[in-house]
Amino acid sequence: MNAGGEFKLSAFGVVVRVRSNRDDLLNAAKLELETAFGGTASIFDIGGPDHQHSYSFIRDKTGRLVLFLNGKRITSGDSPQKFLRYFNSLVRITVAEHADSRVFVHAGVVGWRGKVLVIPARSFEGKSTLVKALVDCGAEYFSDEYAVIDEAGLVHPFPRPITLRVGQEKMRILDLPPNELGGRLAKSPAPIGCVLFTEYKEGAIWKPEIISYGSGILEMIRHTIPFTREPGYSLKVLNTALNRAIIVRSPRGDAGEFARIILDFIDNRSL
Amino acid sequence: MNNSQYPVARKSGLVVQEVPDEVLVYDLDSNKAHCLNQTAALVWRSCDGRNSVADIAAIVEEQAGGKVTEDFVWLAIDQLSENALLEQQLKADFAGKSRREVMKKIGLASMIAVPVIASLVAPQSALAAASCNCNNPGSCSAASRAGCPSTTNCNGVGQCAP
Repeated sequence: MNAGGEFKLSAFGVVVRVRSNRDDLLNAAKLELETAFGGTASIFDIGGPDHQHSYSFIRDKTGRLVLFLNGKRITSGDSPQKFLRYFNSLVRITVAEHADSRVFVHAGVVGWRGKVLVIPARSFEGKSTLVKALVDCGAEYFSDEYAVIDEAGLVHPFPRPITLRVGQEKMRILDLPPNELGGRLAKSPAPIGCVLFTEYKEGAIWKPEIISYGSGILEMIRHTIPFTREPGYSLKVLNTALNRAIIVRSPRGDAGEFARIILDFIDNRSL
Repeated sequence: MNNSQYPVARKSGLVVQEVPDEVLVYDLDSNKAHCLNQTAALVWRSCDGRNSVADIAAIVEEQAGGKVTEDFVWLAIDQLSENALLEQQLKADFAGKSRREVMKKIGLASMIAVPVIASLVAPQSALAAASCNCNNPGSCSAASRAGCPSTTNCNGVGQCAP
């Protein structure tokens, strides 16, 4: 019996309604989102607060899965696994873009010596691999996706599973639950000690260039999810968050090797 | 050089955030974000429609504590104008030299930081840009295809679409 139904997800002041014409898809979506939000969201099967955003997905007569956002068709696919993964990412983006009293920056984040290292980067730029390597060296895991910054400039944990992409031609996605990382999970918000702009280059040498505070905020704008919607608020929060941070730019090579170098750099600067 | 100009800083359609020694400006019309260094910010603030270029040079000299020529101020005005941060377009005339050449010459001689404006285009709505990171469906890599529910969904502007 596939009667379908709906549930609501509430996270950071954003409420999303999810509907489907199939029970199995709905349950899979719920599990997907519970895992993805790492304990930072509440799920309501019945009732719940008023929603601002509505996702629906159906399996049409041809068996194809179709996704709608606020009544508008967004995408379609055949593989439930890929479809749900994509849906999951859209819900996270929706929350990140509309969050209340928080600014989400697309970044890898780890804790070190009571402060946070933020590594802003787009998808496919290796930040998850670097985050994992830093955690392997003893850093605390905050997130491999978002720096969630509050108005006091503190970064909150957003401990979703780390998504690692393995293989080149035949790429697989490996989701590593936070409790299987082998390192410590962050429990409390912390101030930013260092922002690192980096990208992988084969054979790269660590060559840190300290950049100005304004240049650092400018560069962060590229990765700030709600920026276009709330530019004034985003700038105010970024200004507060970075006002005691050192902002560095350097290429990097292999994550395993560079994680140690990066942490030593932070220690030597006594951040 | 025409020093009878009285440049005016643009105010409408801008979100401004002062940070230590620099100013960040977001242009709501063009979706561009700018970072003005201390010197560029000082010139911009002095563009009130009552100060001539010579006046602005004197203001910068007094506040920054070093000798400032009108070419120096024109370097800033040229960049401000190019980035639509002035009410009117003003083009500097550096007697045939490029801005880069003038900047280099002034930079070597000046004790004050040369005015610099760094800019970038701000990200569009994140949801609108939910991307498979692939701009050509015919050549999407395995990494980018993995972002979409289906390989056929990766459209010509790098988005997963119906």
